Amino acid sequence: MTQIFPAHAEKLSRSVYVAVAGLACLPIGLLWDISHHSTIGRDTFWTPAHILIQLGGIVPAFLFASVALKTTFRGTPEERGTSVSFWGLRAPLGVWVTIWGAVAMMTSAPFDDWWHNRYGLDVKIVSPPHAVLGLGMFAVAMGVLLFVFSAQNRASSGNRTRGGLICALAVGVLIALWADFTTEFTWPNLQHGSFFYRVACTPFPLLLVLAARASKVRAGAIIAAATYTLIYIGMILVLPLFPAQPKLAPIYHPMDHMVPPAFPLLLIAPALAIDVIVGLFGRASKSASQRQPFVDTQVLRPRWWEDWLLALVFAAVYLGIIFLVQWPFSAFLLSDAADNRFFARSGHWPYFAQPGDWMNSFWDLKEDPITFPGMALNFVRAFISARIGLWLGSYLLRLKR
Amino acid sequence: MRTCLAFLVFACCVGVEAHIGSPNVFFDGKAGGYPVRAVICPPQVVPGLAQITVRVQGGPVQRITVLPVFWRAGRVGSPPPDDAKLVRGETNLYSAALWLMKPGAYSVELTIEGYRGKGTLVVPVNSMATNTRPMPRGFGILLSALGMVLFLGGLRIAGAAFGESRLEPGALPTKRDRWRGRAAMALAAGVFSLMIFGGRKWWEFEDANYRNNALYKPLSVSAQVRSERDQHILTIKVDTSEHHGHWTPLIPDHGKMMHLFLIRDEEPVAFAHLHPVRRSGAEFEVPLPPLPSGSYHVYADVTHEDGFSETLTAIANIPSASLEMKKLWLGNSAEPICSVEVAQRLATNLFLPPDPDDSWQMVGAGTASSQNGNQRSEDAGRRISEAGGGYKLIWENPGAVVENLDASLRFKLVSADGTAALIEPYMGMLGHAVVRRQDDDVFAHVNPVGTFSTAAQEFFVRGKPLERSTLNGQPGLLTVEPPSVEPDLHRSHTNSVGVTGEISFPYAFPAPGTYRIWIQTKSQGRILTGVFDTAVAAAK
Repeated sequence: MTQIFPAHAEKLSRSVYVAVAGLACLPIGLLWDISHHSTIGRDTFWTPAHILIQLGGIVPAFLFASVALKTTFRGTPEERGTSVSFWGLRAPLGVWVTIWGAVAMMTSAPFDDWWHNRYGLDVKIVSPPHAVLGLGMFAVAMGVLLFVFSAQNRASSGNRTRGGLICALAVGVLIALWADFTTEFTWPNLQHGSFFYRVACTPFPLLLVLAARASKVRAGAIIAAATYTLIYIGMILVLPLFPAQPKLAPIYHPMDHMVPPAFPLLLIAPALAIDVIVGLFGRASKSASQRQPFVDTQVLRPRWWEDWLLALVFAAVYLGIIFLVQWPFSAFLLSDAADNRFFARSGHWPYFAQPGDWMNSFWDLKEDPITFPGMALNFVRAFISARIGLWLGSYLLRLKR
Repeated sequence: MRTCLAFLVFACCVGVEAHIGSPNVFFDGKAGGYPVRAVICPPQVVPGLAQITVRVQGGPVQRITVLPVFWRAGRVGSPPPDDAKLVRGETNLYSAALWLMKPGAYSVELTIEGYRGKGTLVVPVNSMATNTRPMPRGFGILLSALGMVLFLGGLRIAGAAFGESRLEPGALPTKRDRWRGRAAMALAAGVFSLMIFGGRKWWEFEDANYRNNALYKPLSVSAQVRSERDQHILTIKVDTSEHHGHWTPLIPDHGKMMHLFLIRDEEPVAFAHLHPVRRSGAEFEVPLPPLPSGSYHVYADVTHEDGFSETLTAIANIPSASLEMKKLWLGNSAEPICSVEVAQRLATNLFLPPDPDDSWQMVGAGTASSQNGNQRSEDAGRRISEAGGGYKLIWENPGAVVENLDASLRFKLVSADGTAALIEPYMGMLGHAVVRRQDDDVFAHVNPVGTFSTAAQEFFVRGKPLERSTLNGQPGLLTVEPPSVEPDLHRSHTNSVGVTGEISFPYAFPAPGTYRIWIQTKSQGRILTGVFDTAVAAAK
């Protein structure tokens, strides 16, 4: 007979903080690595950026492997009671997702090396072995997210706000990770074209809505967006402090310091709106709280149509704000006014780029213009993304193991 | 991003490129006061690592640096040079690895510092993707196994996510929870299968993109023979349609725009080394000597204005020459005589005169042949080939030849009376060697200085395109400073009256098989050709 343990009885374990700190190594390491490839070019397995990326996988994976071993073989009844079964072993769900992600990252390593020997060292971010690596990284991140959210949901009421904060931070790290992978598609030069809005409407609304719905703090989306923004601004300010020069030929764009990433998207603006909407309508409707008076208001199940309606509102708000904000801001980022250490206009171009006017002008204005049908499709994308975010947020709120 | 070097295998020196199937670049000469022998193994993919080994004779050196220079960016667009490292256990052998990032012509600039001061040499290298090897079976099995673990693990995670994960701590899953978990696993199986299908399509797209846009493909060439005023004229036409009509003009190598080799495999075997002249953009013409009729393998060595050299190939069907034409070319001789005097005589009688440096050879005319070329002399370990006019070429080191081992082909020319003959410069070199594997997969034109195009070397040493070059107006092309220490460009070329003794060709056979080697040199104004066959063993 299995004993059912009372909920809201736990303190946040140290593993939660270590896992999120380890996770933050991934987007920071990736930004560093992109800068390394853009500045120095030549690298080895043992560059600091690569080590940081590996740490982003290794720290959560080893931490969670120890959790799995302890829970399976020496776990207390409480620990075993907050775990799921996996091929005869026991641990919280997030542990297995992270370990799965680490195995995917490991698999991508020899695959990537073979790819380089077969097709040449890639100079673009998106390739099949990198997709496996990215999938592994996102699985590691998702595992940490599941682990953190289940801890938040089991936490005692005094620790719940702190748990919510950690959850929002973890989502922010995930946003930064996704932004790293979509670097090539979100440069300011592309932000007057349709393709940029296609990219901007796919995963970002999902993650912002998820943070707003599932983290037990009032400003989940804002905290997540701010985390992403601060990671990027931090790298913009820190990377150029390090002297470096290209070590591969041909060099068309000489440089003497590490290049910074491009300025981040102003996700903070739609995040603010999403948090306000969630605060007003998204947590629980009056009818739901009347139906289930003794349940945590955030965990209440909304009526089936409420989340669909909410997703429509989120999509409209997100697309409208991101368009109104990024359109003029990208023009600013390409202007002389942004030619400074903070906004780093054109600072991100690599040594192998031939300098020219293209660096500070908009691209594909004729080939990929903003059109009404295009934006309508982007609205649909944002809607689907927001709806999945709400669904995932609701799932995470109920996660106990 | 490079994620792992755990399975690092350097692109290793075998493949198919210009020349053909013999990508490694050999240099044998001097850098300042230092006798140097350098081997550059270009990568099989771009970007990729080129492996460089340098052996310096004659004493210790303090430092050797290597620098890659891309043709368009020049030295201004090059990074700081790398130090070559002394190979462990060796006293004068250094090695280095350089990344070649772009397809096209590069040069590797070697600088040697030591007790004789500073010496620099420039070796041109082609950077191009040639790798078409599929994934090794064992590696494929390993990746598949890891993929299967991920697939099955992912299914179990999906089952747990929708089965147990939302239960209160300690609660047992109900039947409904279990069924929900199983449904999630079935759904996940479908999603994962779609992801694998999509990944496969993506991979196929990338592979097709590599094959169509990155993999080096020589331009297709047609070789047609026409008869005009009883003279056979071979027209070489390069089809530039695959490159949208773009054709980078050529620069002369050893004073010739094109070195054309005609090889007939069947009996009677025949060989010709001709030098066509350009008629229009990518069309060349050359008068044919009275070669035996039949099908010929055509190899055309060219160097482009951007320093890129390549070997173009075709098949030519050559008809039989008329009796008058044979008489005109051969005169009263039973064997072809190739010399300036003969060319001058022909020029007065032919509609299209041959180049004074054209040479040809055939069996059955009393000249060298593969059969008598392989006759062993009494001195074991040497092989002797009749080279024409009573001259003999002796292969001094024909011992066991193994693939990818330095073969350094050494030959001696002796006159009819058995004394060492005076070797005269033939197109600026003491000799030319042509190496071809029987199955046509390997072809190389080797000079005593190495396997590179001296025209490409000149391009990189000069540091900028020729005046009137089509490259001058191109955007991004930089006029660059030549190396700080001027390399001895023409040290390898010889314009002296001649030397007696040996000629040697730095080379390593790239793959096992049966090879034929044609050695061409000049003495008393006559171009001489010897033929040797050799079997190259696989490396153990």
